[in-house]
Amino acid sequence: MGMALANNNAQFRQAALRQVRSQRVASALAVCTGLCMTALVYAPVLWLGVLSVSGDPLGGFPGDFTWRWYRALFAQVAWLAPLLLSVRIALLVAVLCMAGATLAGRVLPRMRRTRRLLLACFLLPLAIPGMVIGLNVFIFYRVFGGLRMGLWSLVLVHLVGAFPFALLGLMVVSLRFETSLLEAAADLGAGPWRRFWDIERPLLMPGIVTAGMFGFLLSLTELPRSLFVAGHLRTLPLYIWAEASSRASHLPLIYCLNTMLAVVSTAISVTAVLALRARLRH
Amino acid sequence: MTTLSAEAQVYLLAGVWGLLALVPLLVSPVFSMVGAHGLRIDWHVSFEAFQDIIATGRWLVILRTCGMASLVTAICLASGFPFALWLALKARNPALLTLVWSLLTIPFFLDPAARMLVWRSVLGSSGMINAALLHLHAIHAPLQWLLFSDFAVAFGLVGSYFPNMVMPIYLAISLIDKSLLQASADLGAPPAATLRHVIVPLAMPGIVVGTIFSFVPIMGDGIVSNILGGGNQAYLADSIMALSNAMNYSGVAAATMCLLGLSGFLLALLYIAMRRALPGNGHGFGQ
Amino acid sequence: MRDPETMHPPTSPPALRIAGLEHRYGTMPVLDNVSLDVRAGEFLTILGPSGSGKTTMLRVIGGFETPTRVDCLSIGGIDVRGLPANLRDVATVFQHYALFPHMSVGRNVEYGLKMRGLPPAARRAGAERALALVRLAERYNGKVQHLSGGERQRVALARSLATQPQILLLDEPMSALDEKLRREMQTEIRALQQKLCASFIQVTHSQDEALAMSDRIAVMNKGRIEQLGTPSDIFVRPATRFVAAFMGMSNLLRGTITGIEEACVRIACGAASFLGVWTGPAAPYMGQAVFAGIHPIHMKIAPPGVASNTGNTITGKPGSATYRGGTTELCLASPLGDLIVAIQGIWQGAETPVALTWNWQDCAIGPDAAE
Repeated sequence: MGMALANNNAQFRQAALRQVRSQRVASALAVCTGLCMTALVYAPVLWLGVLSVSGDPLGGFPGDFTWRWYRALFAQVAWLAPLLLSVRIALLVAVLCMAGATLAGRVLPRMRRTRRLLLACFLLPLAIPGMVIGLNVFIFYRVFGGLRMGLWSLVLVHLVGAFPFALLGLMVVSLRFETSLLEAAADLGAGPWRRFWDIERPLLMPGIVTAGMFGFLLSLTELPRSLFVAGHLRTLPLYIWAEASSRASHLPLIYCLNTMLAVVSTAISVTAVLALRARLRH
Repeated sequence: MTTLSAEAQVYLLAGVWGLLALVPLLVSPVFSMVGAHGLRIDWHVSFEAFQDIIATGRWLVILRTCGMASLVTAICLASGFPFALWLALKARNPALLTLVWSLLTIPFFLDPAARMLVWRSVLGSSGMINAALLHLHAIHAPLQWLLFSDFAVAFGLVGSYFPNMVMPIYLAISLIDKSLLQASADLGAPPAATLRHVIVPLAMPGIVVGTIFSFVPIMGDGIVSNILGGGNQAYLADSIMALSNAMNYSGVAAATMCLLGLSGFLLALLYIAMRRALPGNGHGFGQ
Repeated sequence: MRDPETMHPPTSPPALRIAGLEHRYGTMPVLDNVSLDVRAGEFLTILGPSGSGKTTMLRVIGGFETPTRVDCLSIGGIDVRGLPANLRDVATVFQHYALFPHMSVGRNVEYGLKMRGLPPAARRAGAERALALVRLAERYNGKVQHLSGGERQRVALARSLATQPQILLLDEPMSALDEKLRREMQTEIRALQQKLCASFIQVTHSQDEALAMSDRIAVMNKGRIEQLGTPSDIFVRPATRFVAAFMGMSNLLRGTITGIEEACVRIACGAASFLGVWTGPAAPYMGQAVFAGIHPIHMKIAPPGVASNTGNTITGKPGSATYRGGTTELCLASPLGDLIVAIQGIWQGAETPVALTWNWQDCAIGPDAAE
């Protein structure tokens, strides 16, 4: 009897060890692939930075460290106008995203019956390729409606691309919002506006900031949707796209421009994330 | 505005949104069946645009794009699912978690063209990879197939859409009640069985959403195929852009309809296949 | 200590008057023709199981739900039908307190005063007074997240009391507290109410709390008030079978009336005949189907050889015993069904049949409505 039990115990222990080992291997594999993939996504951004200060950016290995390209970049101002236009559009889109996402996102968790339908309506553009949206907007408004493309059409397509993300970003916060807080405020005498300003706004602020940030960054880096609705205007991504496919000699300057863009975007994102984490820990 | 109830405001917003953003999407079905060239619209119903697609052999391009999109989506799913699983269940360090989560959700700091440009210089015949391999004497002549090839396009697409696949799956798994997993183990299921019978069925909505958010945009991606593919109209998006340049708008609409229709069809197939492969995958279970 | 008489002279209007209240969710009726008056300075508890409609009633009074139909709904004599929650002079203590997490304790308590337009100095004074009432004055600048469960409840109380409302509504206030804290808070809240001579309406499913804290209790079942009366009334003389069962009268027998006298009625239960007090709302009649209820503490095991004077006796065979600390609940099998007797100390475990007796004044007899 004692012998049989000892055998059994040994078997169990072996099985347990095997299980733990295989789990560890699986985890390690998962992490490796995942991090590799993530590196794949972000490596170009970092490499751009390296190339922008390399003496021989078009060659194989990066050459010596040099600021030459940056100086050449600042020597000409062709890229300033597109940059300012992109920033203007991005700010506008950010504000509209914040307002719209707050308006919809604060109420959607409470609307039990129609919530799915409305969410599907707002999130539909996520499932449609950017180019298709841009083309459709162009054909609808320009060919069918006869309106000339301009700033408004750019803002429109950027909004269509960014708003779903902004809404999702806000709903992550609003889904955890306690509605009894609003009832308590009403109970104490607060009218609808007061309830929004005193209770909802402060507690939803992380989500509102996220919505604005998504709107700003997604608009700043928007390319496929803008391809068809820009009319005579050039946003920064469009400018980069045109320059990169035309003259190879301009490529190093493009690298510098992109690096600066990347630095600014990262700075905005990091500040926003840190600020949000500080608030959430509050 | 404040006189309207909060719900009414949302309906109003949805209405405005519908008009501005969703109505233009009707262009695809409508314009594919009329004649629209240049700025003139000829309102007679005709299927000429669709016939063109078959006549000019564009349907081959569509099939090819489908194949590429399926391949890339499969790669993203195979590598993304384990990663999402690890992130949701095993990642302990909160700093690492926030970092990875931020990297996957925050827009990638640069527009897609800029990211692909770097790959063009890295993968080219005088690019870094070839230079390194030559230096190490692993090859004697630069590899031509690294750039302006299907390989390059696939590479770029995976690098662009990996986060789209991971995020929804990660969210779905992290929403699973952990006590369900503990119960499964408690009842004697090894980790693989818990994965198969508990995690995958409950995370299925996330997997489906991740697949949709990857497959459909990949089908319509013209940037990667243009920069890394050499722009020789090998893929549907390039085709559509060419049609657009030629101002053949009914052709554009028809091609778009094919794109959306095919995507929808394949995804429906996928959805049915997944539901059948996982019987009793608990609709209403833990929702 | 304020004097109840001067605070609320007999001619003042009731704190709350409801008449003909009906409410449905879709086609499901939740409140069925409910009427209720709450006197000024009274502590009323609405007691009932979940699904009885008690929470809905509280929400209707507070203004968070608009009833399907109501003939009269007035607070302090003022008709509040159609008025939204923020315009009613009622304050609610929510079940999970609903304290604003982004405001300090002091700011939370000040909020109602801020909505009434008081200047900062007056707000602060009012908030400090309210916090002093619940003995949390020193936590004024503290954060809500750092409070314990009991402290949060007191802050919620202070916040609602700061505005000095006509009525304070409490939604299952003890549900989130542990046993010991619950008993402490029962005494504390009752003392607070008496000190302020305020009108409190509490909703709960715990008959313990209802008995300990109230001036009157309204027992609700399936959207109707089954009985409205003082705690001892409800406990000793339940008017319906439901109320009897809810208040712990575990011994419920069925019978018919065989005799009606001035102070008592006689009923026949199977082969036995018992005497009891009539508690039903309407007058009894011969042959009426009734229930007879006796509390376990009122049922005694008769010493051998002593006969009951009124014939209120029955034989039972002892079965399982559950130890409750001060008493043991002994279950006995009798010809009329299982009976429960509460005895002192521990049951020795004898299994021979014993005789059980009770006084006729402790036996409540009321109409046995078909449920």
